[in-house]
Amino acid sequence: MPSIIRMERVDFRYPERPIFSGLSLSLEEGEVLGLIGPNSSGKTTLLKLMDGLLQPQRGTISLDEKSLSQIPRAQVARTIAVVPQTMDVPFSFAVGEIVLMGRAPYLTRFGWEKRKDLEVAREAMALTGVAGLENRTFWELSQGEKQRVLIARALAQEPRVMLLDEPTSHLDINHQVEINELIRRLNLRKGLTVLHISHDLNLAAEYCHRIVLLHQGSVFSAGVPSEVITEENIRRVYETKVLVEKNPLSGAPRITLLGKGKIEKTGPQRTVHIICGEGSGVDSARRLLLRGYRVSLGVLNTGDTDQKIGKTLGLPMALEGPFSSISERGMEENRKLIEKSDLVLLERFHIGPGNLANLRAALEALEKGNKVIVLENNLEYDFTGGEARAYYHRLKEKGAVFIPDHSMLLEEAEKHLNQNS
Amino acid sequence: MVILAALLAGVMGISVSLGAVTIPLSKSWSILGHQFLGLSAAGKWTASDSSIILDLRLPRILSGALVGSALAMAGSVLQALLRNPLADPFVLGISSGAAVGAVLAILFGLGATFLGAYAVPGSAFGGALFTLFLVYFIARVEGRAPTNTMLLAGVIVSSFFSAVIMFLISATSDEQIYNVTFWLMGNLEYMASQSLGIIFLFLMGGGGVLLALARDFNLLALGEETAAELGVDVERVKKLAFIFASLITGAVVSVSGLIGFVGLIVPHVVRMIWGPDHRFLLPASALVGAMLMVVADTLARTVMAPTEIPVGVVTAMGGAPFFVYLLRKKGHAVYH
Repeated sequence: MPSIIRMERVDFRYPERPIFSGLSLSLEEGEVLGLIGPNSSGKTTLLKLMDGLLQPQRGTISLDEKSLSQIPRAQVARTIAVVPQTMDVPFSFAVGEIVLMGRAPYLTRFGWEKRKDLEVAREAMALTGVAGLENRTFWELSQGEKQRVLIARALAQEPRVMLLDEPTSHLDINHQVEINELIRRLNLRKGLTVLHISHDLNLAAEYCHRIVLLHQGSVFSAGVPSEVITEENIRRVYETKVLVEKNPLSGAPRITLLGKGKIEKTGPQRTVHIICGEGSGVDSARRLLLRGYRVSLGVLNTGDTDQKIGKTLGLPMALEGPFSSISERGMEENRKLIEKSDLVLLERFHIGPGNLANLRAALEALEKGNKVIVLENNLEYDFTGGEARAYYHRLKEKGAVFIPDHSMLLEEAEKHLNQNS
Repeated sequence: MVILAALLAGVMGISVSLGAVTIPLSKSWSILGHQFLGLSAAGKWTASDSSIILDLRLPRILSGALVGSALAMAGSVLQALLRNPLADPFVLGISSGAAVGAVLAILFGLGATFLGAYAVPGSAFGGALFTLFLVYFIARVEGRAPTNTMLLAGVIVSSFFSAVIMFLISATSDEQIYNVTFWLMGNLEYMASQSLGIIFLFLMGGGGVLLALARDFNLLALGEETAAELGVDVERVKKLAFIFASLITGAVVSVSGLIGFVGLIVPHVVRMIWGPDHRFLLPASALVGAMLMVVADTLARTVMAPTEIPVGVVTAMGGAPFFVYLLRKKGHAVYH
């Protein structure tokens, strides 16, 4: 694909601050390019360089193979349109007037807008879904409407390239999706080439053909979203731990913030061991951790939802191989964790022959004198031919505390731990 | 626009007959018709009637119209450039700067040199331009002059120059004090018909350039970056606009002294009624400003006749409450 805008070995610095050194980047005809990077990595500066509003100290920036600085401003404005994050208008311009201003690069000094200009503006407003707003005052509009008006104005320039500077950063999620869908539609229907600065990595991954990750004044990584948005890249550039998975609906990489992964330990300094599986322990583990408890898990199969999350949270766990039955080795690990704990919680999950041992673990704990809280389990699907039911029965007999749901968890835990001491 | 022009002509026509001596409309218009259109001298009038109309009132009304339109246009332009509804030649210190220039020219008798009638408007323009650069220089941070610092700098420079004027006056011989002081308060009495022509030329030239930039002002009102993205050569347009706004301000200040509020209020009135498109706003402001000044000056001449009130006092006393009224009534829809 031919490139429309090409930057080669560009150096740029503000008087007090260097931004880019040796940056090379090209925007290809017909693509939607996402530009991501931490705050002050130079995303907006890059956009201004591409539009010729700033001049690089070294290197070349070309538009259609011609040096950008040699092209008259009006001609640049007929090729490249910029959509800002917001626009603050101090006077009561109507929406229609604002969109028509997009025709400025086509008008002569004393020329007024002609029928053609009105048509272009009207079509732009129809495409962006703001037809009918033309007589409203711009500042009366909602943020989402304003953003679409700004895109309409950019479209009125009949550009081949649209540069968007975080167009959705002030919008609610419904409008974020709307604007991104609109950009995709414009790209497909009008063949518009798009550079899209985004602070939302998930949206960028979802909607961009290609992504450029900026870091410390140069391109850290560029390519299709799945190549650029990786746990390693994000950790190194943003200095933040994230989990990258594939979005189950679209296949695009999807990141989840993990923060520092650890929750400060200033609370009761008590440990709760949770016997769980299938993700049943996650909620309780989080709630306990947030209240300052320490948490351990067991016995879990590797690959189980609880195991994955327990791992990212750095919790001690008694483990078994993937899809295998709980072995005596796993049980032993579990016993050690139970020994160190002040309270055992048996979560509600499906019981089969493979994990029946988890019920035995709970019973053992109870028999050794540990406090055990049990989530009531009606065993809708009992795959053990009655054995599970028998365990629950004995747990009740031996004095385990049964709670109907998680709402009472913290209260019960508190109560029993205080009795203990 | 045509309606506005007709309205202005009407206002001027009526005000011709009003003054310390009321000369009936029919008589006044006959005099004008006889003088300029060669109509027969149908009505009967005395030589003094004719002299009052042609030598005193007409030049004065015309100068009022010029002053009003220049200040209003300059106000519109400055409000657009600074994207601030509080900007006007007065607030930015341009008027005071022009006044300093003019006072110096008067006190040093530059009018008697080869510069002749151009001396006072010329040095007023010089003062205006000098002030503008001074304000810009004070407000400049890293090659840009942010609006707020520019306004602040304007206020500071303005009060400094007011002090300079006071100093000049206090250092002056007695007989000149009255002239200069009365002139400073804003006054249309002393404009000779010769300087009228010169001011008119200044205004047409400056106003023409500003009108040619009207569409750029629309884009600049959306922000300098937006304007640049839409193909405007921002630096050049700003430079031209500041220079020519100073030119017309300086030209009229030189003859009228300090007349406040016109430059501030008129653009707002026009925007409230017809919207902010500068291609309309600039000419409409010029016409409305002219009208306002003619009305204000007529009031100045008649309210306490035969004593005259400086017209600057009238515009300020009438303008401020009117502005408050507009602000309370429609303000929320006009300012963000």
